[in-house]
Amino acid sequence: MTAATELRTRLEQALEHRIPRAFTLVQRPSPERILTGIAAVDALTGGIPLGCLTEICGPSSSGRSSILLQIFAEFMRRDETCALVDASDAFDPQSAATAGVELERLLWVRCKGSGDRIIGSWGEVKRHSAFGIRQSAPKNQLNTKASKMPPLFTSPDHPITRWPDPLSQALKATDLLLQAGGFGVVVLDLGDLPIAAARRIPLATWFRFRRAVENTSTAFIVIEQHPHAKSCATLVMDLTAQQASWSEASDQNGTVMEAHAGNPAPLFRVTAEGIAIPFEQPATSSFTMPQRWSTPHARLLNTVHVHLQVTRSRNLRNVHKFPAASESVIPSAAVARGIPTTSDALSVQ
Amino acid sequence: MHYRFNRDPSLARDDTTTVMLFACIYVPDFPIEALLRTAPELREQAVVVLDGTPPMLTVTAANAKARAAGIEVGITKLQAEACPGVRLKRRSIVEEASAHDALLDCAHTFSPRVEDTNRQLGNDDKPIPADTIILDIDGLDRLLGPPTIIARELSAQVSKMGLNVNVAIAGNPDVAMRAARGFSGITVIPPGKEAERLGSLPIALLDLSPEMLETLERWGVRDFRSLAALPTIALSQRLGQEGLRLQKLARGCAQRTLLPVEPITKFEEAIELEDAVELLDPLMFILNRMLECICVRLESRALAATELRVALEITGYEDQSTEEQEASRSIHQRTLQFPVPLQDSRTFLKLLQLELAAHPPQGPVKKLWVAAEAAPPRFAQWGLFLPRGLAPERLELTLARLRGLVGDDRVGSPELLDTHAPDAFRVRPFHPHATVTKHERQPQEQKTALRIFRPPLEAKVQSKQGVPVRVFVKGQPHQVTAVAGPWRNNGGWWTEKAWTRDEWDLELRSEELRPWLVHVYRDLSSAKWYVESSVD
Repeated sequence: MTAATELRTRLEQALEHRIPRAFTLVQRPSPERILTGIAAVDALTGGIPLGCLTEICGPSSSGRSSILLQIFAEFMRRDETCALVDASDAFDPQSAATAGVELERLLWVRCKGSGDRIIGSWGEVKRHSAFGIRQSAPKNQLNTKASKMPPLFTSPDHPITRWPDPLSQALKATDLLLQAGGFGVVVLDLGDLPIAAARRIPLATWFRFRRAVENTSTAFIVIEQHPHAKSCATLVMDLTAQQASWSEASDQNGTVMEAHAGNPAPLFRVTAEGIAIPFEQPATSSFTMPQRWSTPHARLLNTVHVHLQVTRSRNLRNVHKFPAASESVIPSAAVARGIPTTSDALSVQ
Repeated sequence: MHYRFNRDPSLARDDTTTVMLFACIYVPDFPIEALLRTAPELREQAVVVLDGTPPMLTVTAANAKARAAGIEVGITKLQAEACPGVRLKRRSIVEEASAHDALLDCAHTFSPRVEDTNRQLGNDDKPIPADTIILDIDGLDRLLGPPTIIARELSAQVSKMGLNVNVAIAGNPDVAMRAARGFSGITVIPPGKEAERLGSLPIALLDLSPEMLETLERWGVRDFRSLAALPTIALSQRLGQEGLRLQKLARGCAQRTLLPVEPITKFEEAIELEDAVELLDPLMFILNRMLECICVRLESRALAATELRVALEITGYEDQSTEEQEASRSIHQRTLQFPVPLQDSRTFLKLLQLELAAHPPQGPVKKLWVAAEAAPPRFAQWGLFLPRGLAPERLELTLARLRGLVGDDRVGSPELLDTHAPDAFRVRPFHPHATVTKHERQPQEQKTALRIFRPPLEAKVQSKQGVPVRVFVKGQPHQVTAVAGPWRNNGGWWTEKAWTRDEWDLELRSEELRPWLVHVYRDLSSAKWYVESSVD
């Protein structure tokens, strides 16, 4: 035993009654994970970690909302209640119902466009000012705790008053929901907010959110265009839209042509029930652009191909790898490519 | 059912006697107790209650400290003001009514047969809340024990309501009532000892008319014992049947039937303030007292509240003229509905605070009225392996805070409407506890989701042979690389919310070379293009 090791052991023994194992690195237990229901995502990430912050990033049409709805449906299948803080008021209930989300178990907080009624800007809480008609009268100024509280988020470089109201409301609503607890998943949707606005959220806010969900069974998910939570995030998924496939009008045999933007694609058969079944023989697309314009009303958006890359994930060694047979769950229109360690392509239909 | 009175040796007369048991709850200085119930900080002070029409205000009731300071019932307000350190309060019938309801509630938790004794009509023919309650406690000893224990339980239960009372138990309702009015604290009168125990009480407790009282005092009859000792025939010859009735009461042998009242199903509290409240914090302080009283009443009846109604009577400001004050007089009402019955006064208070902060009254508040809709408490059976549910109280507080943050109609669960109108939904209150899973949920096939632009983004579209080829959104040009449509969508032509439009699915690409899949439509009524949603 070296002198340093001996000294360390002695110190640990001396401090044992105050700080147990002072110099021993404590390994955090791997968080429990809930599968998303999308095999490609689960194979890469192992599921959504509970008690952690997960970021799902990507531009528009990159499949963020589709994955989110699958996560909602999966949590509700476990009898959990979900909460969505929608900073852009962009949530589509019809899509959610189609994806199997039980809307009555979803708490939807719509932030956009409601800031002028109550809160003009951070630090100025108008609704606590007074009873009714004499708002300007000093004697009616309510001396409440809220009116004395400093602004929740402070940044000397970027005054809070410059923030758009939906963002500040969304952050405060998220705070309330995380503190309340009891939800299976809390989602903060900043997907349509300007990147510059989301970037101004102080890192302390993300730390607070992470601390709020730590050691709970609540998963906290942030939808955004770029990751901002830095080291506070346990899992960061980066999504990119690759291409969309459009189905064409069927011929007399009921076969429907499908084409990617320029890649070969398989044929699909449409049955009477409207279910697409892969055709036995692959074929290449015979479409050209002028032909496609000719009958656009008979064309349907069929599949969106999305590329997923996991840019941050703790405890990756514990990620459960799915067997090859499970990949059949992936719709056949998925882009077939070599699956790297931390990225994959999936298809959302 | 008659109770064989041999279980308590102190009450036993002989082994074969069967008597019923009655308890009386009497609130001394009821007008003061009704006021102190919602203002317990005044309990340590000398308080008098004034009644009458100004300027002829006289003292109606005074507590022990006020009487020690020289206050007597009947003196004028001017005389009462001469005594230093005495708090003068106006009589509040609404608070007395609330206290009386609380008293009846408490009595009904012990017995279904409760008599609202000594009810009188006021000047406006409305009943004045009575200060005496008599209840039939026959058989209660099997549950609680001997009469002394029952009396203690009664007293303790009423004390929870914020009232100091005298409790007396006897085999006769009239004896119990006189004993409660005459002796402070707890009194238990065994059968056969009525005349002996009541003998020292003044005859004024017999509710005599002034003429009768004067006659008896002239005879030198000042207490029950003297009246009971008078010869019956001679008393009958001089005072008639009324004299005999009074003598029976004094001897404690009058018999009568109890007149039970129905249990109160409304849980209301009201306070009329002497000075109007203009600030939220003092208003919440008063509301807190009222909510605590309501919660104690609910708890004593093993009930909870599913709805809370608050009404605030608003008056004008002091510096306004009388006409302006009358013009600004109104009622501000708020209703809180809970998905599950709640019983916690702190939760109610916080919810009310958030509600009143979001919807403040339009002026100073002079009178407050709070009512609770009672329902049986919620019982839930949780499982070891079920996910942890949301605590109803905490969830309601969180929802109230969220509503205060983003607006009333912007928090809840979405509900799809049965219509073909685009983006048709409404937001319902979030009630996860009411959700019952009736069927096994099967995994759904993954579908593309839409993100809605609310309101839709206005766009400029360049078309070629009727097909969009270039789209400008927020001034940014986008090349159309794939297109599907149009599909005509119209409806609601019989309403003001009619829609008629041609819808397209477009794949747009700009400089970023990433596809942007959007759903656009052309409003046929205005010939304008809009981007309604994007595939995401």
